[in-house]
Amino acid sequence: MNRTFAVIQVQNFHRPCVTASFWENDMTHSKMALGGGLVLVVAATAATLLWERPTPAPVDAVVNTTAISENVFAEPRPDAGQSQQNAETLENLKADLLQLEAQLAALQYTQEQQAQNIHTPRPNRLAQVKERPTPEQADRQVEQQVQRQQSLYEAQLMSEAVDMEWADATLAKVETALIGEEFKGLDFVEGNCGATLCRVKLSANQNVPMEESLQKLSVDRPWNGPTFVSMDSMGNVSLFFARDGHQLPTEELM
Amino acid sequence: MFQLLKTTVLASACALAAASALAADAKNYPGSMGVKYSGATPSYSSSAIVNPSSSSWMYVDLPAINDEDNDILISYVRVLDRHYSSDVRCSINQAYWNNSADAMYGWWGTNVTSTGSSSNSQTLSTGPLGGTGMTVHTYFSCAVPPSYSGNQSRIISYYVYEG
Repeated sequence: MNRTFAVIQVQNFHRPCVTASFWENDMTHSKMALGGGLVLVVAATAATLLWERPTPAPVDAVVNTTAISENVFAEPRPDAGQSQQNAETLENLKADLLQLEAQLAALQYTQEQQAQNIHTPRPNRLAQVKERPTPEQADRQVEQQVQRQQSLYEAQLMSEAVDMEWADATLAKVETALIGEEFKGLDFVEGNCGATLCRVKLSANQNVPMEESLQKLSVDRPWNGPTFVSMDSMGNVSLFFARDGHQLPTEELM
Repeated sequence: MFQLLKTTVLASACALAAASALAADAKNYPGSMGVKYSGATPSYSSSAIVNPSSSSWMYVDLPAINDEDNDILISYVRVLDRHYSSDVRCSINQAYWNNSADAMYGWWGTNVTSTGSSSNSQTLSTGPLGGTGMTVHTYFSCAVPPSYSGNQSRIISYYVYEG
């Protein structure tokens, strides 16, 4: 770096001298004086600018630096003490290198292990999963719950005195609604109501898909109360629904 | 001794309250999560699901996440009913398919309807619902009336608070 800089410096110092000799041959003395002054000003400005660079170095220093650099790359002089020191340094460097290689290998191993563990759940999480019911067990639980609920609804309906006015009006509305085009595919089979609860049985007309109609019945039902619905694979639909303002019976309510 | 007992009771109450707060979960879903299953084809506006038809009702299911072991304590649907005589209707439902019986079971909550016609949103409170475990799923079912004089009815959003 210093060497390159020194070359530029030297070139800049030589240029004014060449320019001055050109003027000396072709101009009058006055002109020469003026031209020489100008050249000197330019040269002085250039010199000032160059000397104010971040790492100004006099030519001498550069020369010395070059000399030192040459020494560094020169053949080492035979020196027993220096050779011994160099050999020790080399051994130390080799030992450090071996240590670094061992550390790198350990890091790579850890990284590989971590990469494998990303796809393996932690053991405590697996234990939690084992404590949870399997889908089959969960199915059985819901099935038992559904059976208990259906039994409750049946028992409630059997125990209620029939409110004839409400029962007749409700069943008439259901039957009328199911005749309409909106619920095509669903046929009314039978219905009975107590005072707060009704059961209605429907069957699927095999010629018309009824899935959509059953789904629409949940929002277009001719009653508003909470409803339990079951449908078997033969298309037999059973509905229990509570009178407006009432809830379906639960174990707690019973 | 009394001070120790008092501190213990207070700490237990705080722990219980914190546990309850952690179990509770409230979610507000945009209406555009709804899926049409019958009737008019929906359009969407600011993530509301809109019935653009001037003649047909639109039937949509709105899926909801019910964390296992949690009951739904509060649920409601925010709607815009802009039909002068027909109302938006919604209920919160659950469905369960039973393999051994080859049967479908469902629970339909109370059917709730909007009132009148307005450019202000209405909240249809569909009420609480008992949780029933990991094999039962929860959804809202709604019917949206056709537009009237260009005014379109819609489901804006729906809300489930469980704990």
